[in-house]
Amino acid sequence: MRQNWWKFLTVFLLGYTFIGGLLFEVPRLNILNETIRALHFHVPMWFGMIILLSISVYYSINYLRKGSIETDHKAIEFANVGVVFGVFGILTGMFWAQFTWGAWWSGDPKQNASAIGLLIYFAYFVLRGSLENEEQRARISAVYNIFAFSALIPLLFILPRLTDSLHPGNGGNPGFNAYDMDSRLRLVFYPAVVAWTMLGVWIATVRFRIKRLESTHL
Amino acid sequence: MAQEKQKIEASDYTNNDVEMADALREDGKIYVLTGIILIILAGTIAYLVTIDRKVSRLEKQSKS
Repeated sequence: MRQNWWKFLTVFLLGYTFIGGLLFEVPRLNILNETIRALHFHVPMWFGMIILLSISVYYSINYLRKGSIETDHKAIEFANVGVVFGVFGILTGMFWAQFTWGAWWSGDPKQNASAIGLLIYFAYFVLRGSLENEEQRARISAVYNIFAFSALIPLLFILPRLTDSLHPGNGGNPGFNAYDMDSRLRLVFYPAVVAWTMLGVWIATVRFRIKRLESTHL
Repeated sequence: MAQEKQKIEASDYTNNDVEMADALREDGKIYVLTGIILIILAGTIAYLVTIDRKVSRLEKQSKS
């Protein structure tokens, strides 16, 4: 029970996120209206994804250094949950965009880049599935994971900034990032990021433990 | 050129020219919605907890 304290914290923070995100006062902004609350649900998916994928790549590097198959299992499970968050991020983003930017997909650089980033990670899973030998699979996919993560960072954080993007909101665009988050929004937003990330860690550890049981008994 | 970031002002919170879901709130029904979402959240968490427990039990069995 004592080593599970962070799970209680996760539940508490998630509850806070939902209550705060739905009920706390938000600034009344044109076009965004109540959808500004999506800030507390859509954006933490991406923050959570990046953190979970960083943990995954950490284990991949660790695998290459030490060669323990357990670290490979951790790498894949964290990548799994990270990508699930990413898919949620894309879907919620499209839904939000339809009602604020006027289209599900407007070819926005950040939208395109995150789609490409996810495709690169899908290839990681395909690659793993196609290799039979456990050690070979662990080694090759660890290298690929490092590549995938290194490709994702410029795709999400550098390339969209080199060009016009709806995300930073240009030409009078109402996209959220045109506004600076104020302290009242941050009060919910940061706990939301922590809550979702910890939920991801929780799911990943459960899946990793199932995998460990499988490998010792099958 | 990218647009300059705009600061959110305290007055944005009281700007009644912008439509918000005020009626929803006045009717009190927003709490109903919040309750519904919280039930789903609680259920999902409870489900995750049972999976977690089951794995713990299996781990114990596999050790002995």
